[in-house]
Amino acid sequence: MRVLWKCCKRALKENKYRTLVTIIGVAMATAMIMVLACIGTTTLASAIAYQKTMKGTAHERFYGVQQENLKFFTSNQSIDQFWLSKNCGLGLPDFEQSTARAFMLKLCGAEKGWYEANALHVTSGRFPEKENEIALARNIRGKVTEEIRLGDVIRLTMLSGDTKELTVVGFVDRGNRNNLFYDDNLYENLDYYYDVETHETWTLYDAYTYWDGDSASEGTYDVSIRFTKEGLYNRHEVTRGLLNISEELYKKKYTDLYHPMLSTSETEELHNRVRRHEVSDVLEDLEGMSPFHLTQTTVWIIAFSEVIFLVFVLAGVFCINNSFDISITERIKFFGMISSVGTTKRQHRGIVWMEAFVIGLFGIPLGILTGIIVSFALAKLVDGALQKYLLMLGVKVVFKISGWAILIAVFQAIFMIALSAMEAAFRASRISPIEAIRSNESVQSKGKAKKTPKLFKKLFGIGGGIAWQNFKRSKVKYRATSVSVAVSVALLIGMSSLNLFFGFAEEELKDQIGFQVFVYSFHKNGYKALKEIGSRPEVTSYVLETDDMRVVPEGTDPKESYPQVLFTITGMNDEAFEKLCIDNGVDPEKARGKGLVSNNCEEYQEGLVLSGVNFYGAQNYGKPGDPVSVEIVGKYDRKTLVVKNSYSRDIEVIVDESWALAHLEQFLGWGTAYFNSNDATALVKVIDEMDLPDVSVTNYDMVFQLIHFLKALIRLMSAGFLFLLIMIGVTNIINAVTFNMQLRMPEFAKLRAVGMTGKQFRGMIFLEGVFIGVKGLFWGFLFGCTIHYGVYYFVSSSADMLWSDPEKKFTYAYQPPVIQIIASIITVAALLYLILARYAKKFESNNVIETIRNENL
Amino acid sequence: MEILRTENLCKTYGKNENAVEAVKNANIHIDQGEFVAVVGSSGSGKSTLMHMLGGVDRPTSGKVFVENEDIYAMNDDRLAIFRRRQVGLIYQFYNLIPVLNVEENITLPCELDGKEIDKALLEELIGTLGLDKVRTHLPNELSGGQQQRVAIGRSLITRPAILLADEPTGNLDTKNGNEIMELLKASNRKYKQTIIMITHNLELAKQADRILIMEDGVVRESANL
Repeated sequence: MRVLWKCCKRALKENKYRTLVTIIGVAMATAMIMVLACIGTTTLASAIAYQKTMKGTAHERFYGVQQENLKFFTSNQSIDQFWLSKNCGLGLPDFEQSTARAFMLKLCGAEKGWYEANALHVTSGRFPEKENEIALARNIRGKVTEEIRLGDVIRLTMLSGDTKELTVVGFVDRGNRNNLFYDDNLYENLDYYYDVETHETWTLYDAYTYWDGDSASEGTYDVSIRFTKEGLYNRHEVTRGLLNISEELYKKKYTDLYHPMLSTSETEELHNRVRRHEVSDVLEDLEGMSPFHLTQTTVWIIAFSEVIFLVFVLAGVFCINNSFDISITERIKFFGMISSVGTTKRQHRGIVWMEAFVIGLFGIPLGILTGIIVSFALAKLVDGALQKYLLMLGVKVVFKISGWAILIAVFQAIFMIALSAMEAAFRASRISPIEAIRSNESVQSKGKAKKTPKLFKKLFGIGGGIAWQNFKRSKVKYRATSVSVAVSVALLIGMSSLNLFFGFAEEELKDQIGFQVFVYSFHKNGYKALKEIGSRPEVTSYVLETDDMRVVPEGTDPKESYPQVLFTITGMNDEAFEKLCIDNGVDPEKARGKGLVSNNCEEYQEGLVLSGVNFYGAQNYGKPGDPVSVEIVGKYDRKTLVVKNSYSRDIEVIVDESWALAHLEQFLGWGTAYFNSNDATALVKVIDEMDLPDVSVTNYDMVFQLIHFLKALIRLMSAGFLFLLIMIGVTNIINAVTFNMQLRMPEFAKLRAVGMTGKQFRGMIFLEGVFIGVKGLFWGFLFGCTIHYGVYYFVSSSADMLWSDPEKKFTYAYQPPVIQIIASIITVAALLYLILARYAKKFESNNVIETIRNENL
Repeated sequence: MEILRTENLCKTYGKNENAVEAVKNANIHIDQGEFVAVVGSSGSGKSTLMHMLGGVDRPTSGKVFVENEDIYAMNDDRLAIFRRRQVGLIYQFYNLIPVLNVEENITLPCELDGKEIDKALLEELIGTLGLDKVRTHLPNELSGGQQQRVAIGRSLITRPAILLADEPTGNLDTKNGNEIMELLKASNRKYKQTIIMITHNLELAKQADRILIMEDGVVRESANL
């Protein structure tokens, strides 16, 4: 094999240009794969970091662990770290409260490190370091009449009767609060305490004090744990052991997708060691991801990644395969010669594999290195460009390369090279010595001789005649070139259909939301508070709605869970109501103190008065409702509402503000506001500073910006991908045409030797170029347009199912990819012309004898 | 002792109306150590016959026995090994591997076989063929005569049972042509090498022990030398 190795090495050296092009091709494709792998590891690392910020570093939390059971946690080899905290009881603070419902503090004693494990951070001050220090939940500041400052001493009267004096050293916030979206219900993790004697309910807010983690102290403990790597892989088994429950119960509670109800005995068994158990399942899934410990999630991720990898691998194969193929075509005679000396098929294949090995040896490391550099730059770029949004979401881009990523990229690259070289190796093994010696592989000798049409010969002369014969009889020579043109064009046209998806997504988004900030308050003074916000200078216009009053028939049992609702009434602020009237052709003046009904109300006629009984309101929980009646002055179309795609089967009445305020006590007092603002971020900041109780805020302006940016980013990336494919296609065409011409130099020299003029030659090869181009373009258009229409058909048939409005239909008419077709024709024509013109020039300058002699060497 | 025999050997190219019978029912016998010349006009089927005798091209029908073994009963890989070990081929256009130097081209069949090179034989061949001074040169640095000598050296390095030469002097001037003929005759005498040489030059053919004549694919024995 030493001699074959020499042959391979020297052949690669002799054809430096092609070797270099192939190595670069391999490196580029490997770099693409490496970037993809790095994006994967970086996304995973960033997602883990995000989860840790949002929910803490702990994998699981066990509440109410008895002292005697602590040993199961502290001496468990599957647990890497654990942090203890202790419920120190409920206490009534001595500061004056401003909330509708009184609250108490739920005092938690925690050791150092527990805060990070549970995603708590200080917004001002620090965490307690002594037992007489306290840190309060940040939002308590908005619920007192007098401001609480750092250093203030507060007195807590504990439920046990004890009193504690504690110095405020910090204010604490949770990791899952951000500027984009927050919901007090989620944020505060609200808990309630019901006093059975006084029948009073207290809201509980978190407060923290220092505790040294001394397990000798009384009561139960809360344990936050982080698994070791091995523990993480076997987490279900470990957790089941910690909970001390049966395998059947564990499956029922934690892994059964249908979440079946537990029996009383099962609930008791579940609580025999811990009172409550929480799992950071996303963090566990992310950190526990390993190809050696396959979970369903890992399998899905691997399968999905492999599909993406495969697209890149095939794109790479498409480029590299041609180089190997050309290398074989160029050396058919060589293989024939060595075959006549006695090489076996296996040795022929061996030569191609050796070449592939050498190319991989240089190309893969180069690609890996390039991929790492590009990924690092990309991570920095995304971090910089998206910083505003990332900060808002609390996400950090954590660039990470793992040995796995490199290994995966190397394996994919090897697979890609093997796939590329496979066909060439097979071809090389099938080269028959006699065919190579006779050099007749490329000429078809079957069937009748193909006659050149007379008109064709008359029009294009002898050059045209030879071109026709060449095209008809030397199909092998043209196949690679025509296929290259066809595949490149098909990819260009097919990929452009991706734009349809963006158009669809954009339309749906625009249709859905026409405001910047959405605020929902479930507080009894919510409507009033939101109206106050509406008068802020940051607000340009707004729609404010009350909660929906459900009107039921008289005599409905107030304890009925699902009563028959005759209609609902929603109050709207004047400005928005006026617009609604105008949009629906109703005079706003006539509508004062009255209402508009939704267009699904069939009994509507002029002067209609709808009436019934208010099913519930702030004043009548569990009591028969007050009678309600409203005069209807017109109908409204749901599409004229601020949320255009809202859909309900109920008959809905929208009343003006005067009606709503007159009946305000019959509503719950809640409010929903849709604000338009020139500076949504400033508006959200204002709302945040107001520290409203029971409120959720969504900054859609940020969401829009983020989606817009992401859309642009995805477009840019898909344009980059398209560009890469086009470049591969263009390189491929250049490669195929150039080597076709190179291979035929002796044939051209012979034509020149028998007296063909430069003009005749140019005529001949340009005509051949036209044949190649037309054939390639034809097949390219056929396949490309099929893909393009296929994507349109898929989008149009699936879009109707995706619209939020069931009546909405996909209205895009199919637009043929005319621009792409024209661009393809121009590109292919220009490329063929430039390459062929170069060879036409070469034809005249080349030494005829030298070229023919080289063929025989 | 018979070294090569053919039975009703035929080769047809193309099909139906395009079919061309290049070799028709050739039955030939060649003894070990014989120097046989095959003469005939261009297109008479000489090269086709030689390729079939050398295991390069499979016949349409008929058999070729070398040392009493039907070589076309072998599969492709065994046939390749047969070519490597039992046949030496010399072409008009030398067919040297352009990326290997003189010495490497000569030792190529041994290397392919993974066999130890017979250094003494190599030196003797290089000396006899007059390639001492150019042993590290690549084929494109050699004259036509030198290239053909390399091809002869390559064909003899494995001590093949048969040496097949297709117009070995066809591409050379008279002086170089004569030198090549002398080398072939010398190897026939010195190593008792069986040689089948194809030529259309009767003067060269007369230097062989026996002449076979090919006309329109039919082989017949020449009456006179």
